[in-house]
Amino acid sequence: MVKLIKYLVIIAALCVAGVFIWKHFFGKSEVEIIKEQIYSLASEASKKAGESIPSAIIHAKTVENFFTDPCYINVGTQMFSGKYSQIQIGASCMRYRQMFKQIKFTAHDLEVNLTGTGTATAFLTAELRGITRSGRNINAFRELECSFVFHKDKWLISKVNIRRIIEK
Amino acid sequence: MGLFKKLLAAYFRCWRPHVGKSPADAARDFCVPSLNGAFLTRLVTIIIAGFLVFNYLLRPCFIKGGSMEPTYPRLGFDFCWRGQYWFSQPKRGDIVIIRFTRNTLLLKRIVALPGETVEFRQGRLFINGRLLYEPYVKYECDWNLPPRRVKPGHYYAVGDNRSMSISRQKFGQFRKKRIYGGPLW
Repeated sequence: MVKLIKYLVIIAALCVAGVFIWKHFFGKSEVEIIKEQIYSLASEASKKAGESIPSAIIHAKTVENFFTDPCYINVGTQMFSGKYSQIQIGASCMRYRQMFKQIKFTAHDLEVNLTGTGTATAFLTAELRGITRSGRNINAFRELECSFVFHKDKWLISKVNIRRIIEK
Repeated sequence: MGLFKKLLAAYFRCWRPHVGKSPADAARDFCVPSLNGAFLTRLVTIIIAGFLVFNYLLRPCFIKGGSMEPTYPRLGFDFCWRGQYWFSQPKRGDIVIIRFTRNTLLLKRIVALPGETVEFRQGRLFINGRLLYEPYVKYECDWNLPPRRVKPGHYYAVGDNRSMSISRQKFGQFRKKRIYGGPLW
């Protein structure tokens, strides 16, 4: 029994060491880096209940740094679509987050393709769950296509389009 | 290894609680099981197996819309078999379940394959300019849709019930990755 536990511990330790070595020496692929960018963006855009104004400003500032300047957003409505500078994105983010008591953005079914040197496209299902200031629960999904460019050692979003899942 | 064998033997014994009992006792224990370790082991196993099967293999689905009538009537029930295309490719005439949003699935029939041209003329479906024989379409249709090419990696699917207005039914081309599975029956 003791021998068995010893062997199990040794095997587990070797597995952990192997995973660590693999991650450290072989590093992350560009696709994984872009995926992490998207998950980070979703996390930064989310808002917990009781968030202070300074914290909201920091989140909005962080969100704008995920986008190129300018960035093109086409979400199907005139009101939100257009060409945005980074500052405009930050200001819009601040404004829309203030309409909610809490929001959670989640990216599902994320698929990233490298389309060329320094460019990539990501397809994802974006989910928004939140409670507005008036107490209304919101739960919405959108299929998005995000175009990325590699700029100043970072992958930044240059275009966001709504994607139709089924197109006549 | 000895310990592992003992654990495995103990697990399989949980599934044979009737061994060594009279039929009457076994029947009573089956109807009113005592809350012992063996019962809890069986219960946990069934819960885990049920979760895995009905979440990842056979997802139960209620048919809310009527776009596939009369093949699949409204308010019907079916299972979505996730393994439909594990070892094969979708082909024309297959009924597929398409993942529309995270919680919404569409039940449609594939009518065109990647690269083909789809067109509706006075309710009749033309694939690459040739009329498609569709015995499953039972209701009158008056749809008109200019020709369009199915993109690579996409399939074109339409419901069997085309008596509704063309703008009301969700149909068209979608990526192959969106195929969630197929109806079990």
